[in-house]
Amino acid sequence: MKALLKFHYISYLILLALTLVMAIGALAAAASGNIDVLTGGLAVGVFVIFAILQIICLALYQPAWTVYKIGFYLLHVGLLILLAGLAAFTISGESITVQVPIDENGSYYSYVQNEEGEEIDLGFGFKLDDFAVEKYESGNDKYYKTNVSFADPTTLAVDKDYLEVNRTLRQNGWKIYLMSYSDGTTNMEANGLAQYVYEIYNAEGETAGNSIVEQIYGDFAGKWYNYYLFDEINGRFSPLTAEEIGTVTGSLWAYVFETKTSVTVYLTRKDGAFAETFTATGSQVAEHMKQNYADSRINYYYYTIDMGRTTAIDEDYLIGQCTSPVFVGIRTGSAGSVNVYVMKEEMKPNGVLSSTEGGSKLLSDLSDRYGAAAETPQYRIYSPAISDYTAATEEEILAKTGVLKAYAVYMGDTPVVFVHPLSNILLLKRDPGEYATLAGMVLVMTGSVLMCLFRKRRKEETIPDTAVPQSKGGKRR
Amino acid sequence: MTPTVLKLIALFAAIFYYSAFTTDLLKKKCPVLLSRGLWAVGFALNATLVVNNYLNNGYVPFVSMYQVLTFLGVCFLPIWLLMRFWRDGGWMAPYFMFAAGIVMTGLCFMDAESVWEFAPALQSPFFIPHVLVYMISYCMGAVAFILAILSFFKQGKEQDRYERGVYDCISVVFPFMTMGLFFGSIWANEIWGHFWSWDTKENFSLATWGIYMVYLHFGKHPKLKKYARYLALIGFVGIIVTFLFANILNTGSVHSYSA
Repeated sequence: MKALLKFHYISYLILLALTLVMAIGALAAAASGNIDVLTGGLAVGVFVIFAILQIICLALYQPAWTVYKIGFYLLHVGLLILLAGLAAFTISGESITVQVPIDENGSYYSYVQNEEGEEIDLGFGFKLDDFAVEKYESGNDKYYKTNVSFADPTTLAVDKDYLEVNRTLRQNGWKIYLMSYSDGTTNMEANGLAQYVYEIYNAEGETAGNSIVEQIYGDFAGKWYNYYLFDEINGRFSPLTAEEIGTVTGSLWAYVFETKTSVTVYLTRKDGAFAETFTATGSQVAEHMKQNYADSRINYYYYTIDMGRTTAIDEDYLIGQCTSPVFVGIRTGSAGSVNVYVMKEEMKPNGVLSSTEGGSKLLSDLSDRYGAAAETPQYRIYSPAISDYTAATEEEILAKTGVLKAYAVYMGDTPVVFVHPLSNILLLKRDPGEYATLAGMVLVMTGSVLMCLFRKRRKEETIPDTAVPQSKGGKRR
Repeated sequence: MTPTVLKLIALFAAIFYYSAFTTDLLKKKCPVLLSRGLWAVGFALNATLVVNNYLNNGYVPFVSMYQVLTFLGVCFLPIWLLMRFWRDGGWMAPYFMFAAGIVMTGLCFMDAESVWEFAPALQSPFFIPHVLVYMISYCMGAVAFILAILSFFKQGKEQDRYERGVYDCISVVFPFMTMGLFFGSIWANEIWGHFWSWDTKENFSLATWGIYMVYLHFGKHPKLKKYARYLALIGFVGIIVTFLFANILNTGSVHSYSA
């Protein structure tokens, strides 16, 4: 008995320590706004120790068979089942967010990409046919619903159903959630960074890098500069000095990102043309690659902009995470490989407009797109003689004839809204431990009710009558 | 009803709750019936606010913080009635009255948001049970907190009685908090695709649940029993942080509907 009490003494203190760890972790996470404090090793450690305590407790504690004891077993066994269910999901579950356009006439999606970049065969095809949203007078969402078509890959039988915010669908072991929707609006200030894109084109293969350095110095005077050049061989951006950049020849794209104190310039070769380019969501990219480059080795590259880092960034991107439209450039490489370059659309020029009807049509198209937002448009014309752009007036552009291309870069304060197709954000989840987790929860709830609410008071626990205050009339209150 | 009228009703409800509390403490000079009568009037005023919220919303008024606090206020009287018969808890009446008064006092300082948009995420069968069971547990947690504080000023059998009162209250807090935690978790799995998202409010609610769990264990151990009431105090601090401050600390909380 003494040993048992000692065990309880120690185990209760461990329980207290675990709870305090969680409480302090919760405080730290709230204060820092970073849940990494709580997830990962700490949570695993806490839950593993907690599970071990449950097992020892179940093995040692032997109360008399009462409602209390039934509750005791249900609660502690339930906790173990619950933890096992959560562990099963952590180990072998999948949770993938995708953005899928609403297109009744579109093709079925049967592949998605997970966070590790792996393409996952869903075992069924689906497409979103129709979407309806109802709003409050304030403009906030009141209700929305999406009609879905599922196709069986073998029988090609089509099954129609619908998704709502609190109504999931199950298909082939996957649970599908309607998380949100996008009316396709986005703006270039989304990341809180001023972004500029230059095209430094040098047809003669002269010192294009020098032009960039001059232009950047002119436009971003008094700031700290970081230059990176994309290394095609290693598939990553490598840092360069301004002097090194000045010697780079050929045609270059420069993507410039500015903060209050620094400017970071990412350069890519322009002569390595893409075999094809398009704008798509992550799931569409995965589907496209599967259908068109199935026999090739596919490498994904994602240009991530992280202003706080001084090292080059070359993350193989998790295309499945690209829920908003991304710009995709595909290059067929040697030895049957295909390289896919994905970049957030905000990184591109706001628009590349072409006109075969000369300057007047080009200005008209630019006005249609940016007219409301661009209060003082500035135009530049590329001059091969000086390998640079020079300021131009509207009249000079209007005088141009033939085939023209304009790289439009909007730099104003008013966000420019681009319209993309209406789409839904879906979550596809495969959770092998879901039913175990649910069963564990039910057991714990039942057990806690039996233990706490249906326990009989021991005799010594009964409040003595003398301690109960009496009212004036002597009646028990 | 105009916001001013709503605030006046809350103010009078608080006054009646405090009056009931005071007359109950002066039991040698005032009849019990007077205290109970004042409590009933306070309850009726409080219930008027809940009904008003319901009529304005058209659905159960649990959406904004104002609505939830209004509902929390009316929970105390019915739960005390249950405690009176279940655990001879009639003697705890003044502390239920006082706690309800505190809630109504807080309401007087809030914007009377009796109309609130019902976001799509909240349109779930889990919404009512999730909030309801949490209200019951918070209500009992508040009373347990008051009793735990008072137990420090009592001696002998009186102290035992207050400590048992704390244990009885937390015996209600724990299962209802467990249900609240898991109803919320099951709901989250149905709407967001995960049982747990390490959201600020979720983290604090888990920590609070853990504290009450440890309390119940300590309360049964002869050596640790004397420390249990400290956990009752900490547990209530956890409730306050979870209920009120979690949204303030982290504006990105997935529970920001009730902010």
